[in-house]
Amino acid sequence: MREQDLFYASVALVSFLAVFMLVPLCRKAALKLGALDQPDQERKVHRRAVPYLGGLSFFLAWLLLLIVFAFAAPHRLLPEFYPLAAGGFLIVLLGVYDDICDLTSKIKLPLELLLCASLYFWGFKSEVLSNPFGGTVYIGGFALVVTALWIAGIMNAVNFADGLDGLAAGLTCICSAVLFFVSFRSGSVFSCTIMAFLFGITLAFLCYNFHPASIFMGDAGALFLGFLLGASTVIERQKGTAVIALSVPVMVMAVPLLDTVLSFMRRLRRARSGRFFTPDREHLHHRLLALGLSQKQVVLSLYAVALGAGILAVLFDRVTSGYKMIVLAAVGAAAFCAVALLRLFESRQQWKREKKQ
Amino acid sequence: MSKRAEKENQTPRKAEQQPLVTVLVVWLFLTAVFLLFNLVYLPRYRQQMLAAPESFMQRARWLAKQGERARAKETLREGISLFNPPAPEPYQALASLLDDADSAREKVLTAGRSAFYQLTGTDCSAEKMTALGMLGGAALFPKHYDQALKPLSGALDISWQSFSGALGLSTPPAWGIPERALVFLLAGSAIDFSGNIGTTGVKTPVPLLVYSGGGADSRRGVHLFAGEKDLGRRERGMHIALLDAGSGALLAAACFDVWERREEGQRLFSFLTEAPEGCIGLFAVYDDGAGVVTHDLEEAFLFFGLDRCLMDERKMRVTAIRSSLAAIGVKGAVPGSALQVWSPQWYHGRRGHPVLCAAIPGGKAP
Repeated sequence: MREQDLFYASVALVSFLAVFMLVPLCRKAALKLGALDQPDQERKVHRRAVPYLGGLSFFLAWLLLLIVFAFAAPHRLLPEFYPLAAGGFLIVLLGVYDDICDLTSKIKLPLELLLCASLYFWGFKSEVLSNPFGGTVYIGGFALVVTALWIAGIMNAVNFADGLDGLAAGLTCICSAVLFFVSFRSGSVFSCTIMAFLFGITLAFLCYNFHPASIFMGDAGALFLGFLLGASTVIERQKGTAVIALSVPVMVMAVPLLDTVLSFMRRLRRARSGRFFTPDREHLHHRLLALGLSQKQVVLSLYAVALGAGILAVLFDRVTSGYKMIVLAAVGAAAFCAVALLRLFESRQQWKREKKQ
Repeated sequence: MSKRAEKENQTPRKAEQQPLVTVLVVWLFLTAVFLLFNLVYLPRYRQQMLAAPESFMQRARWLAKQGERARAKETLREGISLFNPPAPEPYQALASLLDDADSAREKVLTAGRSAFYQLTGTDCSAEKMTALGMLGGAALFPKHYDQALKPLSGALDISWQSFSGALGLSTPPAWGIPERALVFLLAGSAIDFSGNIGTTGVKTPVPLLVYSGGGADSRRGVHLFAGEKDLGRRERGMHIALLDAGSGALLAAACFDVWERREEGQRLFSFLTEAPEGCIGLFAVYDDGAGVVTHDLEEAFLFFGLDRCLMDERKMRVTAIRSSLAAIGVKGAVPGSALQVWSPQWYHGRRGHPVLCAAIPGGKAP
């Protein structure tokens, strides 16, 4: 085993052990403080109060990993790590407030965008976009907007996916494994380190969070996971062509991102009645549950879809640029068909229900 | 529901009663942990960053402050040779530390490089270029080098068009080949007037010139001159020509698009390993010559006397994505002995540029 491989394996192992040991402590703290997610009849699926604050263990594990780096492998310290710790700190503070006091999206979203945009000034940006018809487009300062939207988008995508036991952690685990594979091939030390960390922490968290969950990561955890995923993928890969470079993470995170896009479209429809920021129970996992699938079945089937998308992303990364657009179009078509199929099943069920009545 | 779960549900819901207090408790805890983290992490991080090769400027500044001018000078020299920085600051810093004990040539070259990078960072007029040419022209290229450069005049002229076009430089009307060669030199290029191929111990029988556009010069690409003939093409990738060291005859020439195709990397590996021992290799990167370059492939470059001298993702590499690289090596030479120059894609927000290296037989070093 090469030193580099051993390093990534150690990152994953240290992260796994850190979260595995920290989660019970976070659970105890949440129970003591009464930071519990109470069940309701509207949006929530769980039937008993479950402690929040599991996500704190992710942030603490990140700090712990950096301390381990600083003393055991200082030559592995990258300048990009600290902004993720500082930004992550603010994100977790925001998430904790949202978990306990229920922050409205009207305040949360601008704050998220502001925090994400600040990463631009730390070097997290893609200033060159590839033109699907050939060549590249230099976007210069507009990269600030792209950075903010991309990272905030991923953060919210992971947060939206955190609706069933083990869903957000499992999807992030699959995404990070695939992105690790892709980054490993291109030799990106920064991405590989972040992905190994994400893989380790989400795998450890799944030991407590898979159905029936004994703890939730809460907004603090989901936003932090999304923050790391988004920030590590926005840094220019290879030739700095953001559309192609971002296509791989888009495909890997197809499930949470598709859910976010659908949610955004629903909210736009509701915007006229002034309910854009009102949450609903129509996320992908809610709709699959409504079709009669059990919680475990929904989670496992969404894992399978994420894995399929991940395999496609790996293929996408391997094909030459001529075929990249074809693969992208095929993925887009597959996503469209999946949504159409879901709609068809839903209308069939509705029709059956009406017939029964 | 288990007894434990029931007990949990009966736990007093402090959060519902005093949510803000709960938030404050968690926030205080997180802030304390983060402050503690900063106290432990930041000093180690600063120490590490100061020791990193790319922090040579900060390290030199710190050494100069401590009164260790000689070490500061050495640090700057090492950093400049390692990173070939396309920015004036490192040269300005070095120029301020040079004293009577240092050679006049180094002083002129350092001041010239600083002026060149200031010039390429602003509007570049023919007047400014003339001033730059006058700054070091006489000191770096005495008159008789007109003659020495003659065998390469055609190649230098063509390369100048590519170079000045890529950087948007004006060419003063009175400029001849020596002035153009001077600007190449100020941009970090290397020209050997005695025909020596670096320190390989091999002299070239024909004039050689290799120009690499890297990512900055995507329109014009590369030039590989062996005598009058340009063996470069306008194609992305690593361009290589192999010459017989005795006669200078062309043995093979090929371009390898190593940006995304792994099989090209394998083809390049075979090309390098199957090259006859002792042959001369000309290497130039057009746009990108690093995408699928593996560890084994890097080793194959080292067999030609090339060296890992640039940092990519905190690893020393022979090639990096979109960095320019021009080299003349000899198969079987010691790593680091080849004539090799490069410029980074970016350095502290400044774009790198095309580079050139050349060996002209029959002259003597200035």
